[in-house]
Amino acid sequence: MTSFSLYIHYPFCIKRCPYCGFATAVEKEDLAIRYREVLLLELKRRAEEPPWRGGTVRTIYFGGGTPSLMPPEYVGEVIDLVGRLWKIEDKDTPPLSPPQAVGRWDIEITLEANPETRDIKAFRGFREAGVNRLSMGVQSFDPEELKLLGRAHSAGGVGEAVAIAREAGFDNLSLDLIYGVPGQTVESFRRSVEFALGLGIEHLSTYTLSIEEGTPFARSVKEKRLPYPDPDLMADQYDVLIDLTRQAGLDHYELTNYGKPGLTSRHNSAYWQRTPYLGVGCGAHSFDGTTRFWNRRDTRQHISAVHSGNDPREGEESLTQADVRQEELYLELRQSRGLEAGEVERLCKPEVVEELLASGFLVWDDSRLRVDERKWLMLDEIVLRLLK
Amino acid sequence: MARVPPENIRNYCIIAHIDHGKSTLADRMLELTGVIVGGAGMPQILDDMDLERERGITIKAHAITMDYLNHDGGRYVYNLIDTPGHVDFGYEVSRALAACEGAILLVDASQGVEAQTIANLYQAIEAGLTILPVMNKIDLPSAQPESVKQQIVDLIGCDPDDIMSVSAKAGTGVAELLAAIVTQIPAPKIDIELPLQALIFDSQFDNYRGAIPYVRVISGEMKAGMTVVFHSTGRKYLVDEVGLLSMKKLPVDVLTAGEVGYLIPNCKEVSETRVGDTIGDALRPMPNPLPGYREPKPMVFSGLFPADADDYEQLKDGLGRLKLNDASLWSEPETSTALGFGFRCGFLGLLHLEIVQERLEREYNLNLVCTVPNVEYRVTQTDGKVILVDNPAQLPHQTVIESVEEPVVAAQVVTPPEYIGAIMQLTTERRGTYINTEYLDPKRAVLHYRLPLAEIIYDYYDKLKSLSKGYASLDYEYDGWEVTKLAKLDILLNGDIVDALSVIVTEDKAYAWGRRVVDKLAEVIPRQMFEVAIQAAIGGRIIARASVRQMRKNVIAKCYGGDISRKRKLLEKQKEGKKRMKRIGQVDLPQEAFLAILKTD
Repeated sequence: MTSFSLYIHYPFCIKRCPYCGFATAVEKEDLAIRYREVLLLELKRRAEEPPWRGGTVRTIYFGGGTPSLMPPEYVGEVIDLVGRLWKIEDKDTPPLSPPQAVGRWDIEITLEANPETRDIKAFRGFREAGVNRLSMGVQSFDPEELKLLGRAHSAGGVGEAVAIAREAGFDNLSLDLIYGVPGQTVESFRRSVEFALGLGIEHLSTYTLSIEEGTPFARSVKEKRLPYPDPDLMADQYDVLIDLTRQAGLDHYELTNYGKPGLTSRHNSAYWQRTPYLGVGCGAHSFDGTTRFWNRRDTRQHISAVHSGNDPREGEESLTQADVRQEELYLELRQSRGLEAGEVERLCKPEVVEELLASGFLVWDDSRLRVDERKWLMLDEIVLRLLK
Repeated sequence: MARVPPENIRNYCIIAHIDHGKSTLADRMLELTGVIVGGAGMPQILDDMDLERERGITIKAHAITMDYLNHDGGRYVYNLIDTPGHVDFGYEVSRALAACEGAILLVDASQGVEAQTIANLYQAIEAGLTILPVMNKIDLPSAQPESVKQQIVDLIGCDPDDIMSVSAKAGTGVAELLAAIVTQIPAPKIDIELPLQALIFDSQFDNYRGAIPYVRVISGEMKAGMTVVFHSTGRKYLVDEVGLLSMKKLPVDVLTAGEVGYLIPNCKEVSETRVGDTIGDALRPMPNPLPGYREPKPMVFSGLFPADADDYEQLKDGLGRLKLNDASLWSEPETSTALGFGFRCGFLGLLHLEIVQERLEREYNLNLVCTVPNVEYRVTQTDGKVILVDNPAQLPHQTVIESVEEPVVAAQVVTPPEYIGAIMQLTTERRGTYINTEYLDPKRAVLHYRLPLAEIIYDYYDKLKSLSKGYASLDYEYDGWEVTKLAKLDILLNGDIVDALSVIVTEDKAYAWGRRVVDKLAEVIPRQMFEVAIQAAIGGRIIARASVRQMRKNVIAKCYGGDISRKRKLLEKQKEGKKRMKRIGQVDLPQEAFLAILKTD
């Protein structure tokens, strides 16, 4: 294993959001303390195992849950530990951003944060601990939508959070926005996007609301108290999104992600480019280049597995050649760089390529085949048809 | 199992409407005679296919032999021959009846007499069977024993006191019923001196032993080692084994007149062992067969195609295997421009079609597309040639058609009088010709109609049930041909005719049909990459159109912290969904699209 990305999952939240289907748990202090201990243990153990042993870490990503609930000192402890367990892809790569006054390494170290009072107080501490990129789960700037989504912050609070992050030395900030929310309109979404871009952020991630099984939203939809997200509305909102991000000079480098040139998410790109990544913590997913495996979702089960020296893995799958081809096609076409001609020949049905080129779903760009930006929301349909 | 002289044999069946408790009563009888060990939750023995249990109907005839020890110490053998419980299988019922001397007429004490009961009862009376009237479910709070008794009296003219009351579920009265069979149902009248004649009333297929006909020996005797002849085909077979139908097949040396059992004739195809055929002794053949034999005659036709063209061989294999066990299922290869290679299949009725489709899908793991069922048409061409058309795609061009005839049935609908108006309206709409109305009692009328079969195979029965709140029931039998003005209605998707969606409809209803089908298709065809234009046309003229808007979003956008497996699984799921659809040109057509034509309202 030469190099890999590292994902660290922190499942705790102040409260659960009604649409969230992630591995999360409402914070209980004693459980959180044990979990944090166990994370260090799991990191140490993975560092002794092939293929991770002796590898080089190229990105670190703290995801959740709400990892900004972690004490900054603890985040520093984790980063220190990673530096002792593995080599850091530091010296050989050009800096992502101008050298920092604070912070140790230039590899991308992201932490997901909520733009809420309790979290933003710790921003300086996170920066000092070595985190150099914050991804804030804003979702919307509309008070009604935020209320429906069960988010505790306000539009003004986000502005404040960005300012505090800047003060703390973060020059790489990403915001998450969500669309297709019941009650949201094209116009209200436009306002949210404009507001976000007006904050001068480096990166924007946008998701369409999906109804995840077992969430309160799923129940509400089933009981018809909430309408099912309208795909036509989402398609209209997506069009607005493309226009506004282009005006703001962001590069639409991946289906759901927009970044200032050079400031794409290196960590998430590992997922799309099928380079190895190690996930630690409950529900975390890993990929060693051939096999995908994942940990137990349940926080307590995860803790007790690691604690008692057992493997916290819940499952794994070795990919068949057909799986690999499907992944390659799907993941490459999520990216604006698309597929090179040889890959097209290897993965796609030639007659479907022609059909979809003729109907404008696909375009040749610089001798690479990619999905037309305006048709990107049809990716699944396109892939299902294209795949050999 | 004891062997008894013919005078101690009782061959009987149970005539009942669906849900009137026939299978439950049969189970109680089997328990009381020690064939099975009873208890709550025991499956219904006679309905041995999963499908039969799920649907609560008997699809095939079955037979089972029981020992019965009478209170006076006499040993008896009871052969219970179970009859199929659906209007599609009228002929099979008649052959099962012919194997019996008596019939238990089982009527639900709260539901009363229904059309199917009447139809089967008339058949039984015609076949000379002794009727033993029994009321079931007498313990239900909704039971109306007095009025139902009166219906039965009106129906068969018996003494009200002769009607027995049971609760098959609770077991009440079943012992008394078993005792009454000895005294009420006659023993088989036999002539042992006559040469062998045995009636096939059902046929099973065994992978190792081939076709196994179930028979009632009418005269003479049948032994292993003898050569028999099947009358309808003239083919001769060496009998490998004969035996009784206990819970398991029980080989015996000889089956004699009056007995019910099976034989293993070393025959590879059930199509050679046809229900209703007569088996004779090859050395002493009787000149005339037993009466009532009919060639298996499919009434309803549909094209069966694999949704995935690669599954063709599997469909072929599955159909072949089902045909081994089902002589009334007919098929021949068919090629459709839209659907590729498949089979044109003939069925006894819509239920039969559904059962075959469901069994193929379940037991052979197939995704099938069934085209709209239709009847067979008799076309007289201008050159005088008469052809039978069982596929709308084969209907000759209008200019060479002199006339078209369609099959008609004599139908009887039994209903409480308050629904007569609605039923008459429905049946008239369905081109029914009214014959007359009879009253079984003040609360129950029988409407007699002559009606095109094509009208029944669509949703007539469903409609009848829904407008009568489930009370009305239907029975029908084939009643010849009638000239009709018909038109072929084509459906076009994005401008191309989809041959598999073509239907033959009456001229005067073609427009309304076209409109409804187009609207229904627009409803069931999911949005896809391209807009779908749907049109209905008669003879090249567009009479209705609709469209399905282009799909604008189909993506799982959220990336779950590197959970690519989930994405792949969701894609796989979509792929599976697509497999259940048929790609025609650029259009993905769900199977419901083919049913949409059927259930237009």
